[in-house]
Amino acid sequence: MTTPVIELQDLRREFRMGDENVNALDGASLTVEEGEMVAIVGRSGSGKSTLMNILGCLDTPSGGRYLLNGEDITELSDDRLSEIRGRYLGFVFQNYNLLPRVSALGNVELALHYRPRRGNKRALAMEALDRVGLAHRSAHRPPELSGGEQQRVGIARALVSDPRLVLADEPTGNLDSRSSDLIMATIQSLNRDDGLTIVVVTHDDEVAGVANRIISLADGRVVEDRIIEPRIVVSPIGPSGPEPVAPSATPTPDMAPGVTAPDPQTL
Amino acid sequence: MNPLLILNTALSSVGANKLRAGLTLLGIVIGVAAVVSLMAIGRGARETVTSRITALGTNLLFVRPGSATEGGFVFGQGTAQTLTLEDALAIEDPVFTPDVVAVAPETSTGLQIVAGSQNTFSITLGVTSTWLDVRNIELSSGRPITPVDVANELQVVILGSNVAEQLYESGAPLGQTARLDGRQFTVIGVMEHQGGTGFGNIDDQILVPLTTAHFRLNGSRTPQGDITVATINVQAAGPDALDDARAQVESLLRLRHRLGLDDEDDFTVTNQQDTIDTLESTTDTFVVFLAAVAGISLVVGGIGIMNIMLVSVTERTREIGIRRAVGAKRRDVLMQFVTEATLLSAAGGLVGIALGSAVAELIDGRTFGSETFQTVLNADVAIYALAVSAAIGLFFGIYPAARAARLDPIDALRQV
Repeated sequence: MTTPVIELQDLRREFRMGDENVNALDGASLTVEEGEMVAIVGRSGSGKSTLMNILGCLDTPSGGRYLLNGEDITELSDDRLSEIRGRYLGFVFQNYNLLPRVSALGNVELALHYRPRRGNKRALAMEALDRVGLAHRSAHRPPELSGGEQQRVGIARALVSDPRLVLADEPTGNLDSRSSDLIMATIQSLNRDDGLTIVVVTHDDEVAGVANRIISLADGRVVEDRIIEPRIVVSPIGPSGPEPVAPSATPTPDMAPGVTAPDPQTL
Repeated sequence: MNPLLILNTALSSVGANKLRAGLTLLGIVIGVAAVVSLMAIGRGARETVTSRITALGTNLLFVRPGSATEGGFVFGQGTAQTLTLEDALAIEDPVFTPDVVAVAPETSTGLQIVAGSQNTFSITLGVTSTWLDVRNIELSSGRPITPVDVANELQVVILGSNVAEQLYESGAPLGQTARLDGRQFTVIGVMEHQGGTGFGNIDDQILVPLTTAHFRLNGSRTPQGDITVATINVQAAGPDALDDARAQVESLLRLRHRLGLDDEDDFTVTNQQDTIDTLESTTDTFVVFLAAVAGISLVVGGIGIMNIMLVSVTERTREIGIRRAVGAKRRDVLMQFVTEATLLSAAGGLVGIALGSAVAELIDGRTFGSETFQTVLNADVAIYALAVSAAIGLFFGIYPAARAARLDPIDALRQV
């Protein structure tokens, strides 16, 4: 067995709220193997976001251990955490978090800025945009794109750096159901076709059903962990049903899995 | 993150809000423009002073009497009556002073000169026939003072250009009479306009034969009965011979004045360069002072930059969060904002240099009041101004940038 991508051992995270200590994470343990697509579900206050921040190396636990690719990140410096984020992680946010003044291509390229020069960044960014079916919109700025398109730019940004792990925080939270399906189809395709390890945080059962494993959190602990048969999302886009806000004439690669060439990047 | 990318990012961020960037620059622009134009004016003034003095001829030595002492009270330099016409004649003798080519003694006294209904106060110099040549001054009209004038103590006068203008508004002073100390003098010439201001401006002075000045106006003698002079202008054989000529004049005068080995000189010998040095250091001090005052506005401009960078950091919190999420270290964020501030400030510096140069160009050769301004632009001032403005951007950019770098990426990403 290869090294798990994620290994959490009795993870704790305390916050001080005035005089009280609140345990957002209270001994969470779980392991995610390479190639898995995991949905983390739970009500608000269950510790989902805190877990996500720690998984994303944006926050550090107050107790327990977090091994990412076998590396203990619990005690790492801020600089090293930044490096890990840039090299091994890709983020997909609920509110997309794109730079409004920068083109779609520029937004994707941004994820390559903070790492040692390797290959043609622009070409890599273009490839990633093509992977999510937005190559023809590369020069558009986020405000000129529909919500679904913006989120696909976000996905392209997450995958351009060839990460070991993609973290998606409520990726469809701001989208209607049609766009949602397209986004989930794209994310699922990254997992099924490219073998990317993906963790999705959501409170939406529809979204969670796309994963092949669901982990439920409550009060900062893992209360349920089950393997499921994933719902295969069929992209709603077809000849008769274009995406409502921004019609796209060209078929997207994620609609035709298998046609897409595997990512040629080498680490 | 490589430097080119940092610069590129900073450029696009600054370019994204052009109006704000422009307004922020204004402080730096004005500061730099003020420094550049004031320095240009100052350097111009210095150049004017230098060229005026150089125009007198660089081969000149001025011998003046030392300080008078009376009851232990030392008067100013040149107040003693130790220099005589005999001294001047001796200096002229090539046996003692082989490196001296010409000597022109002068006496000096302040007198009221009256012509018709006009009158003015002017320094009256008693001179010999060599004086105009030694001092390298041309006449705009008339004739110079001749040995005959000196030998016969003739009551003739040559006017400085300002004096001529003041006394003879009709513009034809030659052959007219003027009264000096109650005596009739005939105007025989007018000197060319020399330029210059303040005390000792030759345009405000008049020349009469040295003997006339001594015997008919206000002569003074040493206790031994020799005619005293205020200055002996000595022309050396060339700029290279200046030091030798000075040494020769000094030893000759010490000998003539019977000064022992321990006695100090009772005269001083100066040359053009001494005068230029003194005046230049004066104008330099003045220019530096002006520039310092202008520099204050640069600091104010720097505070403006800091202010706008703080606003920018607040506005772009989410951008900072995104950059941190995709791998930017605190250092990268710091660098980005510092670069932006420096870029803003340096751009302001460039515009300021252009504006300051334009102002200096505009002022050059124009007359305000009685002064004609001359300005001199130098590359070094521009380079300093640019460096200083960039340094100000760097300095005032550090605090906002540090705030940006300290932001918690989670909070930054949550920002709407």
